[in-house]
Amino acid sequence: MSDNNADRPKTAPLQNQSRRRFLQVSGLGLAASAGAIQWVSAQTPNTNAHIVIVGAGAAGVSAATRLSHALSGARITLIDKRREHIYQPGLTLVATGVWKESKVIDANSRYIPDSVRWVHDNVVEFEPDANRVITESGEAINYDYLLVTTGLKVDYDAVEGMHPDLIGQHGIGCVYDNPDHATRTSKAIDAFVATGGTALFTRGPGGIKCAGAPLKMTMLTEDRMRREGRRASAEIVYNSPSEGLFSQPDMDVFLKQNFPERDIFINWNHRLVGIEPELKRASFATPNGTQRLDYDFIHVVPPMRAPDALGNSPLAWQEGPFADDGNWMEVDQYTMQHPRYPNVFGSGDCVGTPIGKTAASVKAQVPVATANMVSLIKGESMTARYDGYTSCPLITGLGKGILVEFDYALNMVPSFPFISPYREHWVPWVMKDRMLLPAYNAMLRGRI
Amino acid sequence: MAFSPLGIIAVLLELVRPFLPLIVIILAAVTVCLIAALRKHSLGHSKALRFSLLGGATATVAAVLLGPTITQATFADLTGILDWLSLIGGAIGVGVLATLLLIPPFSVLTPKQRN
Repeated sequence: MSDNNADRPKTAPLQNQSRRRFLQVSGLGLAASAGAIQWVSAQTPNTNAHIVIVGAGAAGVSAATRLSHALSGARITLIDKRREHIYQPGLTLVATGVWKESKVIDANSRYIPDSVRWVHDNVVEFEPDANRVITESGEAINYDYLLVTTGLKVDYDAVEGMHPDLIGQHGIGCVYDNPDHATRTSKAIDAFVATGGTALFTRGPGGIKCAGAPLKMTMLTEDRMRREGRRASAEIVYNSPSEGLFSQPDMDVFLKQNFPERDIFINWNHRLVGIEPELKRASFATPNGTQRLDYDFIHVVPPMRAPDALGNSPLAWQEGPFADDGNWMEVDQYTMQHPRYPNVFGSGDCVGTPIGKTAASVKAQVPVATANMVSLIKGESMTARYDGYTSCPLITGLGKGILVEFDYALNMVPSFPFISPYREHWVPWVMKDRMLLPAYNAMLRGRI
Repeated sequence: MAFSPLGIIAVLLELVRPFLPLIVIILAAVTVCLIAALRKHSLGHSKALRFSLLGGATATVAAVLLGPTITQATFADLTGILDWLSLIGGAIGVGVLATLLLIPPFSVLTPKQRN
């Protein structure tokens, strides 16, 4: 527990010492480097600040690694009960039978640096006025600086009759949350492919993580039925809660052409509000009132929101669209700093920004949040900016996809100019299938 | 989003990390053969080079033919020049690597021709 109190200055004292520090990349067993590769990092400031990171998902772990590299002498505490680390971008591939469940399950201990104190507990209360968080076990942990990376909560209760235990039964699937859900969804899809019938795909309104996942689930299921010669036995319906399919306009146009070409029917303004598992019937809120649709398979995507402890805390947006949507954490969308609590930063799915609840967003946000926190600790101005970068390898079928990358302005910002963000290719599929997991792991180690 | 050269190396490291034990074994075997070939002054003799090039060419062709299948795709999924260039370029890389790795063992295992 930190010994600081609310009266102490929010910027911790810095010792004006710096030294060159070597970052080590270990174990590259290639011929040119049978040993380790080392490179010299920038000068690292020395500080006695206590930094608390809440949440050991993609953002929390990579931030812990980055901060431990960037600061000398800082006490870094990471709070999260989860020992497993789930590669969530792979869940769509598990849910559609492309990957085995084991491929997306890892251990946080492989990535969290030894210098970081890992508290195996969950935060149940944020008290930013006292620079303190309270854990499930009742421990109060004070901080000088706080980074909130809790992730989000899939709000199953918002769909009447829905419960995560139903996933895999009564033709119900849901790719989100964990590999078990994805595996059970895969089995439900297997059964649907065998029997045929009506498949309903849904999408929760507002901000959801990996907003491309509902689309990918639809397209991969359709593609599989076509490949297995079962397409004629199925009616596939995508229910959009709005009048769009994708926030990036070019992709929206593409999908609005592509779905009808594949005989995927689209219901506009259909928001899933209830489900009757025994009857295999779903209720949708539409501009014309509630509409009930029968199904043989349904992919349920509930609304999502900030975890209760965060959403009910002063750190959440107190009003406006991000408060109404999901009680998301308030941050400046460019600096990732909390506007009312300057020693608090946020990254990942929990923050209320216009776009960006993807692992790719984490890759872009975390360096900004950590760099700006370090600048604040050093008493320098914060210059790092998050431009809203997010990415979706939009898998349109087994073996092909479109690498979509865009920013706050919804402009395409391709990392690889030679890969068209407007056309289906095999290469984005190979990246999704083979390269993104290694890139993700490199991110967890703070190397990209 | 830009990737630095060190970032790309870091990603490649993570890509091969699960296979590091196998890679170490292969490199050790090749190194042993390399040392043996150097002692016998037979490294890269013409017959060994021919066999190695044949092995490399076979690996290249196999990589082209199996590349899509290994990635659970089909040739129908290769929809543009980018895909074909990537497949062929990757296959050539596999072939070159195979050739280089085969030279030491073939230098040891195949008899050196006398002039």
